[in-house]
Amino acid sequence: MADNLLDKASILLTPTAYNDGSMLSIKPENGDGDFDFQRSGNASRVNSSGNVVTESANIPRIDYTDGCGSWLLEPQSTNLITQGNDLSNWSFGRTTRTITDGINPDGTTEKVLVLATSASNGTHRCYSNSTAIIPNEDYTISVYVKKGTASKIEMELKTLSESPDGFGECVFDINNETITNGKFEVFNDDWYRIQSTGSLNTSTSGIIFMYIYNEDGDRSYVATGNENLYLWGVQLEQQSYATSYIPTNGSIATRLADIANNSGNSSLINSTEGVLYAEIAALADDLNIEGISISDGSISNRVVIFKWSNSNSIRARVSSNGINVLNQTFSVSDITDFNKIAISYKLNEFKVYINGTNVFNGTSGAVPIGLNTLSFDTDGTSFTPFYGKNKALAVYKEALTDAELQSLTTI
Amino acid sequence: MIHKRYTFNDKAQADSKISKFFDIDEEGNKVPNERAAFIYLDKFVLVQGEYDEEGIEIVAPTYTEGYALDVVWHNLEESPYGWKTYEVEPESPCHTLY
Repeated sequence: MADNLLDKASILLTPTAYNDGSMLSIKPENGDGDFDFQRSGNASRVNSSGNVVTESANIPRIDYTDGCGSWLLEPQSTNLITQGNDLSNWSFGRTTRTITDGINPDGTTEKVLVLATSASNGTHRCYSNSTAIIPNEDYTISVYVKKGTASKIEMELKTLSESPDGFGECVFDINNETITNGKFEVFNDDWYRIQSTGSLNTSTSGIIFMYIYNEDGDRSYVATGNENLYLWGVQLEQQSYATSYIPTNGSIATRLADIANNSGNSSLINSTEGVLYAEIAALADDLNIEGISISDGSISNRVVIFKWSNSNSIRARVSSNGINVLNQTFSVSDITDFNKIAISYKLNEFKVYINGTNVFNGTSGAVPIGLNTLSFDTDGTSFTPFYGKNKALAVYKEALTDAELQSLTTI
Repeated sequence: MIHKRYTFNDKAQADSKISKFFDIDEEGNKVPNERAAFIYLDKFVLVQGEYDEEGIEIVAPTYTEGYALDVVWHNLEESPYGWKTYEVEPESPCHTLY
């Protein structure tokens, strides 16, 4: 951000500082731009060293999953696997579960090694307990996996009526870092987190199956005693994507949602003219409407950057006394990548910039009245909150020039 | 903040109870009027199923009866009116908060 744009910002939030119950803004320094933060329980994140760590209730999270820190705001989610940490209540077919020395992604030092053992030809697998499933809803399986002497794993959610395939059939080749029907992230110490998403048509129960392939990439084989790999942190969520790790140790567990709001006041947010700027990445292209706003605490007067209900789309909205004077939708190449978005508002002059491009100019319309709060939601009251990653959020008390808006939003 | 566990007759009854904690704004959106986190749990497995090596279910699992719902009430000190009847306190809860 250029120096003059830094100077001009009345509120500037970056992923740098927080305390219990607050996300601390860089500007202003008196705390009036700080966000109230609430989460009624623990949550995990990836720290700057690349380890999975737990944060206590009401502690905001700066996450480094992609190597660069960003605020992480997530919805409520439940891990339906009752023993996701160490697989101690799982069943093992032609395999054994052994605890070995080593470091898990959370820094604990008892790794779970799954070893193919049978000398008879067949699949070598382990599987979870049953869990209740709602038909036609998206579910996502995720697991941390590390190469042993085997380097290929298949995971899927199986059910009676989806016989024999369930959904997913996600196959991850660790040596070649290739995956089918899923995606993966790289972690410290050669760990990977793989995930696969799908839905079931009719079944009301399911189990997670994992198959260990042999060195030749065979799914069915006679074990030589040299086919093994490490597993940790299995998760099954009713989501279209994997959220941060939710440990389970005998019962299913829920991480509650993050809430961040109540930044700013009428002296920091100008209703006559200004700019709302955000550098954000969605958690998924899930078509849920979410947003970040400056508002008067209602939907009548607000400036909102929405993640919209079309695929990979952003909606910019300015409402004045209940009338939407700007309400336009724009496409981005990938809503889960970081995008830089700015909405500039002034009487009869509205502009939208996305990633350095001027995508909208409006020449008529009134401005909002009584703007006084900046929130990770769409009206200052936690309605349709933004869930995703945020690297920067700023408010300006003046409508910036085209050159400034272009500079601000250029990646 | 309190965390309470409930078992309703079915999902429709749970949804009906929950609906009273939402208003409809002028754009037709459901807006919460009470700060609460509703955790839809449905059923828990009582007896595990049995499966063959391809994951085909041989014996179906059995489940708890009713519709399980956990709620975190942020501003209440006890269950709201009409909910207490359905409150349960299992010795070994099948669901916990992280």
